[in-house]
Amino acid sequence: MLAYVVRRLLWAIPVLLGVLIAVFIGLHVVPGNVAQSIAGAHATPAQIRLLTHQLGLDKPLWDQFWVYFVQIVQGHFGTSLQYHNAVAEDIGQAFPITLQLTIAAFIIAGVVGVLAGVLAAAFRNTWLDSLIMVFVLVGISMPIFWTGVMLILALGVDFPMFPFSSVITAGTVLPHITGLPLVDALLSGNLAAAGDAFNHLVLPAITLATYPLAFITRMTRGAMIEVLSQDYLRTARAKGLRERSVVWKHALRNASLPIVTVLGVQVGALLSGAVLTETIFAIPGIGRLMIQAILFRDYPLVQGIVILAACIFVLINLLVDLIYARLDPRIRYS
Amino acid sequence: MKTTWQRFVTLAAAVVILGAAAGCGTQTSSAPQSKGPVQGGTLSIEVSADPVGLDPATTLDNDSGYVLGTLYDGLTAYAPGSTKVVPGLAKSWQITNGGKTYIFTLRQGVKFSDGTAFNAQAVAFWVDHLINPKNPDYYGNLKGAETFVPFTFGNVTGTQVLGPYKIAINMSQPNGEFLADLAMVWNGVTSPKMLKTYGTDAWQHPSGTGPFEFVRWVKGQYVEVKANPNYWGGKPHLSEILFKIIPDQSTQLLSLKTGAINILTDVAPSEIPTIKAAKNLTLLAEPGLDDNYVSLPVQTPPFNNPLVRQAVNYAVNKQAIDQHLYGGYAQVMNSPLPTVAFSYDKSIPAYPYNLQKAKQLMQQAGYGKGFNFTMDVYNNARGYNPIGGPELAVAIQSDLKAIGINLTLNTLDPATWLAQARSNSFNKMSLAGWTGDNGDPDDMISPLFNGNAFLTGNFSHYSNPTVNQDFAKALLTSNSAQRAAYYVQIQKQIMKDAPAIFLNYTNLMRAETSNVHGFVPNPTFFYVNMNQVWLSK
Amino acid sequence: MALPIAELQGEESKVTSPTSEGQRAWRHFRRNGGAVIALVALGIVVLAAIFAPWLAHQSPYAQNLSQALQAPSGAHLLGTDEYGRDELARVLFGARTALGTGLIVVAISLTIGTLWGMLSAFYGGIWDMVLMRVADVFMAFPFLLLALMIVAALGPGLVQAEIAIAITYMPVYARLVRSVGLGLKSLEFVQAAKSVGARDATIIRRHFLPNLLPTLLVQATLNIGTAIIDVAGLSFLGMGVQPPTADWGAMLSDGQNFILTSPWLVLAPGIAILIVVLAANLVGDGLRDALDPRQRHQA
Repeated sequence: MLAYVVRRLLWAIPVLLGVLIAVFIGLHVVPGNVAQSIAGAHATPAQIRLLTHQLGLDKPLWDQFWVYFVQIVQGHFGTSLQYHNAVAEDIGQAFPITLQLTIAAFIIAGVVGVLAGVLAAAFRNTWLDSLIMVFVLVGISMPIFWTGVMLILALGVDFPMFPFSSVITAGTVLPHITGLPLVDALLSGNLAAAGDAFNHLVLPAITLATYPLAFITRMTRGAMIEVLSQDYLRTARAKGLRERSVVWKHALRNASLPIVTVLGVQVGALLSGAVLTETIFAIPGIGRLMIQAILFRDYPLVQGIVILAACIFVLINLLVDLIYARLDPRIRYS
Repeated sequence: MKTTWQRFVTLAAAVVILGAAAGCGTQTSSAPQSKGPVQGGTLSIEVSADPVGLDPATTLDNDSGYVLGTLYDGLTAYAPGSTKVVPGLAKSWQITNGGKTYIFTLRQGVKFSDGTAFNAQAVAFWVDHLINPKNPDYYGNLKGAETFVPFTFGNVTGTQVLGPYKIAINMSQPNGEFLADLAMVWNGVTSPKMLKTYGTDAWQHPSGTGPFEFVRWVKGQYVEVKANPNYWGGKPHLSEILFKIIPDQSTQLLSLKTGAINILTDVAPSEIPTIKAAKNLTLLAEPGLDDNYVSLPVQTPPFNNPLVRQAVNYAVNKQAIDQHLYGGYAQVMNSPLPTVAFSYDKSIPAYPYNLQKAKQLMQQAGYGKGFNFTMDVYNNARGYNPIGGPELAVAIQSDLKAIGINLTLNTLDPATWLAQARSNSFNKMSLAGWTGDNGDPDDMISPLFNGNAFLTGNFSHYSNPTVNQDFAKALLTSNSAQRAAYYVQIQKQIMKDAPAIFLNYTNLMRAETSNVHGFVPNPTFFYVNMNQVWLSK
Repeated sequence: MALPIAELQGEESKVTSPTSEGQRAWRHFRRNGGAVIALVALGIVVLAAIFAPWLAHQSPYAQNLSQALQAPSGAHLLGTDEYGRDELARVLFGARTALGTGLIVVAISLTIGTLWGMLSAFYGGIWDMVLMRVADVFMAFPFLLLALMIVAALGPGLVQAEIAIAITYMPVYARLVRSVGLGLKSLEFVQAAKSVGARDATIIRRHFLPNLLPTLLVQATLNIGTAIIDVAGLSFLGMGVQPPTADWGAMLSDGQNFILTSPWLVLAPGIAILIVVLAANLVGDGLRDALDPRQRHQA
């Protein structure tokens, strides 16, 4: 088991290296000069040359990559070109905020999605099933930015129940413990701030959850229908087990494999969705940082974010496989 | 549509339950008007991104500038709502030595927010850290920073302290726009203690003499500043200003509508109908320091023919564009200089919309059948063009079609657009524009139409020897009347040579909630004189 | 916004003649009411796209600034936008952009992804390992980040956005094809064909492709919908479709500035997207049910 995990993690090294090379080359062939971006529209050519030199951008690409690679191996991610912060510091601030949003969305999508999927399957071909499936299909068919703005309009403006920008009311000072605003507020015992952070989380989390929610519902329903029609469940029913117990205890456990796969895939999708959600709701997370960084050609920052994303991808895949093994005794990793 | 609304009803129900669990929602305030200025209150201003830094010497982006205007003062200042230069931290000044020495008499009893006294020594240190690379706190020690320092202090050789509150600044050659430069937010005087204590970290520990003092900057969320009760220009009415960072346009507008922000910094013309329709919002529009035009490659056929350049100027219906695309908040250019710039000549005629004349000029030039050409287009909204490049380009494309010119639009992201247009080999038409920094004509049009500025803003590669000489002479003169005379000649010649399709001066637009009083936008774009603003309760 | 991955289980066991399989699937599909309605809706949208120039009274590009932001009326059934362009004309022409986007993205990603997966499955060994690690590299990027970087490199625009989204989809097809291919490869008839000396190309053409078809068809149908949504997301960030192209995603994001005063500008393209993506999803589901042998007796 441990050997398996270690081997998987070793396997990740070539993937991460590939990602690193791909993003480095990708960024440096992109037209548009970062020194130009920094210096602004009013800069003289001399100023741009000076900046280019200061940033080491006049060196051969191979040299630049080597310098960067050595840095990375030593655990340094460099300094943002647009802002003067260390990349690690920027990412360290933004990531917990995205994490909070993603977890919230994931909980909504996972819990509601699995519940709805099981219900739809249990009441297959009834009005409840149809109703759930209509919601699901609409959820999959709406662009996320559109969902977000409609939610803001409905629950932020017309019936103003929730704030719709940032993660907490300006001026609230929280100790930096985990970096997740809601968690920090709870840990420091500041209940008013926790309520405030929760309110700020509601609309973006629902927005981000829409698509995975729909997707998880659909997959759960499919997997459950499959399992419910299996012979051993028919036998269980024939033996007089109550339907509720059949559905929730036996069927769901057996349907959990494909559901876990989908959950794993959806975590990756959440990170992409976070880009749009964070832009709409003015949330200072990784997604927004990434857009800014790409538009500005802020190489070190983009590279840092890509590496982080790739690591998350590797870890989630590993996690999904390990959960597989827990759920299905037939799967053994060695 | 029905399903959409059904969905919202359900979502709303879910949300009500969650919200009830959390215990509270947001609150909005609406208040009765009161007569005089009210003390206290927090004003929230929208900015679309984080400032890059809060040390004026090492930043150049608008988002930093908005905050800097509240924290720092320059030796000179702009009068409220104008680019007229008035005394700032310097009470008065004399120009001697043929325009090469400026002697400033400083205000007394002023302190920086970190408690350091403001005096001639402080100014001497400040100037030295801008011009002397050997100074351990040289501003250039922060690598990769954007800066306006070479622009203002490029000619400055040093200072002489003439008394506790008297200082001379010496230059190698005269700089006609120096006083205007000093009023810019980028030239706010910084505390010597701040520079010495924090070194290359000074950008996040700002300390100035301005009407507000820095409190905190939560990255990605807001910058908070509080009133400086001892401000020399009068204690601010507000107790605090929050600069809230909101990137998305729809969210900005909706935040203004609910009162989550009080001032919307970037108003797009498409937002005007909504702002006007809302009872609690006011639109503020005034002429800005903006030129919005199309550069024509004057060294490339067929635009090397002045008749063709004039023809396209007649062919574009600028009036209609102003009225409809810019909601009437723009004015047709009759000079390369915007109306609020020093020496602007309003007597110069603009090119009116005249399709007949345009066709006739095309015939005369031998292009009666028209031609095909490419125009580069930036794909975002810019300060001088708030509707965005592609939208404007489409209108120009359809107007030029009427005289047989088939325009291919080459849409680029801003970084690429700028990098390509700023090259010696650039030979396409391009959307272009400029926002002035200090109201001075040299800053405004020399980068656009001077023969030495191909790599800055002169995408047309226009180089008229007479104009080039006049630019040089005007900059070496500190006599206003004489400078103005040079710039009037320059304006006339450029309009005649038509190296551009002169479109419009767009307005500087902001919007405020109706409880904001005393706010006057400054043409330089930034939040200065904010001590005069107050909020009714 | 991820890629729905068509369910794979059980594909290995299905080895039948494609023609009779197709007829059987069609019979099954026809019985699925929702899917048939969706197919008809898609058909109508396709017709609208083809006949857009005849259906629209105005050009979708003709600006008439004096007619800007008119509410829906007899002259403009869906009102006008901020440039006085007829919204109905733009929605109709937008159907071309949308369907074109869906088809182009799917065509590119399907072709390259299938080749990729087939090489990996068929040749195995070092080929398989290298190709799948490359797929891992692609998939390790959040797809929007990858798409944004590609667009930054190619410049903003419809075609560039389509290419970018297609590239992010490729590895999904590659993996899908590989897993189906691996199952097929071990089957007796393929082994038999190999042993009698059939050329690789022949085996791929005769045996692999026909058996891959159902899986690919389902995935492709679903991706037509996701491609439209994803390109709309890029347009929302200013990196996708550029004006004046009539595109639903761009119309939706532009229209948001007028949401309080001219709501029709977001309703029309929003509903149009909803219909097409919904239809693509329903057809995709219908196809899966019809083509998946295990679901046959459950309906």
